[in-house]
Amino acid sequence: MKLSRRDFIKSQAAAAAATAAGVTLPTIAKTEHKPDPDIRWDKTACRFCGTGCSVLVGVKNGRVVATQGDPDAPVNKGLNCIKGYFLTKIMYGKDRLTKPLLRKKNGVYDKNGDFEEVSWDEAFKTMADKWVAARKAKGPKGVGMFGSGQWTIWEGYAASKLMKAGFRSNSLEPNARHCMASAVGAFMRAFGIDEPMGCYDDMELGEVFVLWGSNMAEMHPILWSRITDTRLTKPGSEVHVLSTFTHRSCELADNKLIFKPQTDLAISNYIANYIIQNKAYNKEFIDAHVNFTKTPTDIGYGLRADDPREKAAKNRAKGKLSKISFDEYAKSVSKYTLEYTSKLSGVPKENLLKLAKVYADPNKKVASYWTMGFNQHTRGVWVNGNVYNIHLLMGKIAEPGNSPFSLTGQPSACGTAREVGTFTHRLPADYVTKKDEHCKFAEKIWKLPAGTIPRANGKTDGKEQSDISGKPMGKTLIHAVAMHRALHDGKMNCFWVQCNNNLQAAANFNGESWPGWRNPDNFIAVTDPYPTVSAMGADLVLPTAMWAEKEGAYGNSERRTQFWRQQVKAPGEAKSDLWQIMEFSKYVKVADVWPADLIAKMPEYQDKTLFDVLYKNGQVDKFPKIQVTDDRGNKYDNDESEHFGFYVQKGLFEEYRRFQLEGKKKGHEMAPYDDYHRARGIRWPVINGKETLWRYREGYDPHVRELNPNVKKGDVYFYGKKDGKANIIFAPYEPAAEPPDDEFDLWLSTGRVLEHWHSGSMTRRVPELYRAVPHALVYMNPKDARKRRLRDGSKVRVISRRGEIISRVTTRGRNKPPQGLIFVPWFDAGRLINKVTLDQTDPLSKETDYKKCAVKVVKA
Amino acid sequence: MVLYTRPENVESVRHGIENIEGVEVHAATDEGKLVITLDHPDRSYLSETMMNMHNVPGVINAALIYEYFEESEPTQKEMS
Repeated sequence: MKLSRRDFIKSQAAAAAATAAGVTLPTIAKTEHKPDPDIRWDKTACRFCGTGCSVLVGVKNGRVVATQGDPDAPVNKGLNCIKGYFLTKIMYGKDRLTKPLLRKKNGVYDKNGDFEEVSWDEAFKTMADKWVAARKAKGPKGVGMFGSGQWTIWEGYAASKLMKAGFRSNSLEPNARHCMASAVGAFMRAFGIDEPMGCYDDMELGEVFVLWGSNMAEMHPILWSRITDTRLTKPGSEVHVLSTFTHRSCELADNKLIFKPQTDLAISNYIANYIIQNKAYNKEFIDAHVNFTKTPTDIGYGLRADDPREKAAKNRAKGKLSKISFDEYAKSVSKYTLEYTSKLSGVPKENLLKLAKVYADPNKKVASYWTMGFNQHTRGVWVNGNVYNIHLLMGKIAEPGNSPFSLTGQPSACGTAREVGTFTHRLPADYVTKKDEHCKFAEKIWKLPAGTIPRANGKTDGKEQSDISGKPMGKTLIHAVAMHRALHDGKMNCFWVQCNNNLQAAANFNGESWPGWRNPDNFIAVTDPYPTVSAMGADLVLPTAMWAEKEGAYGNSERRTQFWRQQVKAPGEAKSDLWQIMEFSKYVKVADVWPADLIAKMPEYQDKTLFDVLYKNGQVDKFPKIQVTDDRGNKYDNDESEHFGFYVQKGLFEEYRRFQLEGKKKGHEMAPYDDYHRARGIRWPVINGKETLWRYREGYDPHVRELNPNVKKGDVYFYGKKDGKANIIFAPYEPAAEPPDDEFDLWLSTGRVLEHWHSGSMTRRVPELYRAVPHALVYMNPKDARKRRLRDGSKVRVISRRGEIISRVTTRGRNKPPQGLIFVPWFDAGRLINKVTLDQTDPLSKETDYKKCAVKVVKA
Repeated sequence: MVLYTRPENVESVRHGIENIEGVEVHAATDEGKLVITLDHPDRSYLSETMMNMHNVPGVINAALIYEYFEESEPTQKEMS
């Protein structure tokens, strides 16, 4: 069969698609594909969501010219979503920042000045002056850094060292606080180790899939295609979707449950009650592997202490579990009858029953998935836990197809924010600043004097830690939302934001974020590739290298760590976040930020810079600079290594790995650096060179037998807890912080759309994505629109107690809210919905609830 | 591209996309999967057609597999 080149290419394309979909095409020509010899192809991890697709990138003449879903990648098997398809275009927006910009008047820094181009040297000198002064005057909370679940692993690790060891400050948070903190809290409470026990393989090995507060069709499209494939091809497969409004994922649903906001707490307890009432629970499993506990109730909403709702809370922010019996647990959930739950949630009884039955059927495999609907919730830790309760009651956990699975929003919320531990309370590999011994372990690895890292309570060996401010350290923890409040109050004076757009992302822009950033006492630095809302709200803007412009590593939702090589150079003087962190550390001396008695413990550090102590410590600089090559002989740049003179990424990663290998905590082991450049990702724990697919079960997880030699074949052992048992935690339904009333009569839920990634900094610069969804619309029920005399396309004001935006109504969009609720995505810098939202958080996880506040909508 | 639809909607989806300029349906299975290619000289037309695939009534999911574009032969563009 003779083919034209055009037909040939088309047949290749169809063949690739058919292979990916598992479809046989009868008439495909079998010819040798002739790749363009001038294009260098290499694997990368996608820059967007937590799925962690591998994308092949083709580079020609120093520019990315082609991409393809990676057919060898276990995650996406050659598939690519729309955002992934346009991935490489994010680097080529016309307004890329290429020089540092500092606000100046008459040649000197001035908060009210205009941005002027400055050298990196001037940028860092100015910044170092401000940071050292604020650290001395205000103590450990005087400075703060706000990073990201989009940071590469080594960027997060380098930042953790800079803040916790260098500046001796726990004021380090990632935007993952707004994203995954509730999931983490629930993992730690139930299992004692962060991150899911299962993996994506459950999407093929499973049967029933339940979405709790996740619109996977738009937010994790490739994972959704895997579930769709199973649903369409596997007999007995079912999909259940719970949400507060109808969305694209509902199109695949066999059972759609649209519930009133906050009543997911009641629904999850109803299922537990159904399982107990019908004696469907797995008694053998719960006797052997589960402790029953309860959590304090009436805990407030994470608002400022003077808010009446906080004053009224009996157990504000309390979370200490107390043991209860199975009978007490059964009694606690017995209130959640079908009748009561249906009435409270607004979900018809038959839908609730249908859902309860699949969980309670011992012969049905069930995988539960959730993302922001659960995590961005003032009872996020509770509601995450309620789903673990259901899986634990049935023993449907930690085995193929039976899997409670917290999906991640960002590409490395797991790999960087959580595993490296770039939160105020965390250290690498699940160690925490709350524990003196953990800090000492970190100090040993980091070659620092004991007592360097600030303890959560400011005490080591029972004594106050001394500080450069001359005052005791005091309590050192400060979470993301509290940072904006501290900036507003002038308690934190320096703030460095990297790899996210927090001014657009944080709730209550008018009340907290904006006044905090523009407070005359404060110096705000923002590292950004584009002039985002955050960059424009800053005093110093530092241009950054993005994604494939640097060597990187991400960790996805299923514990898969993936590396990529630097594919192209960043434009102009843009430098990666990693370069910026390390280079900035040269501008600060140890003696600037450490008190004399601490330095006296290691007098050789007296005249060193933070760079010398943190990164030129004989460990991070251990691996010499090399020419990076792949196994096909292609060559790649590594601009950080070139600048610093050693293999920076490898040195940081190998030092980080010591936390996983040398400590008491098991189960976080990763493979050596070079292995990852050869693999399509490896899922930790990696034991004897092998990845782990299902944790806590003998036969899949080697730690189980090692830590519990008497374990029965195929049995589970939750080794994150001392007694090997997971916690079932009773947590009730409690109302939301700001339900609608007569004046503000609608619920507002914010969220995302398929075409845009988070705040739109990148995707709104891709013309095709911008044109497809240019602006954030107000998705509204047609009846609610009619009641307000609005039509499809009417211009409206969305007003809350805190602020308002102007947008347009859509009643026929892809999201179809029930009466009483509107949905507004937050990607639109021109329509900042976070002027409207409330800075309420889960009091336990400190994660913002962006899904529930009260608004009114009127014609504009 | 691969489109996913409920089995009962395969024919209506096929019908819905077959008449779009540049679209060729290579396979449509009883399970609800369609393998299609888009071929058009205008790159922006292609991008937008592709973007709209997930908005075709009945389409549950649209995944992109393979893309080819060549400047030197300006009328060639393949995507699947």
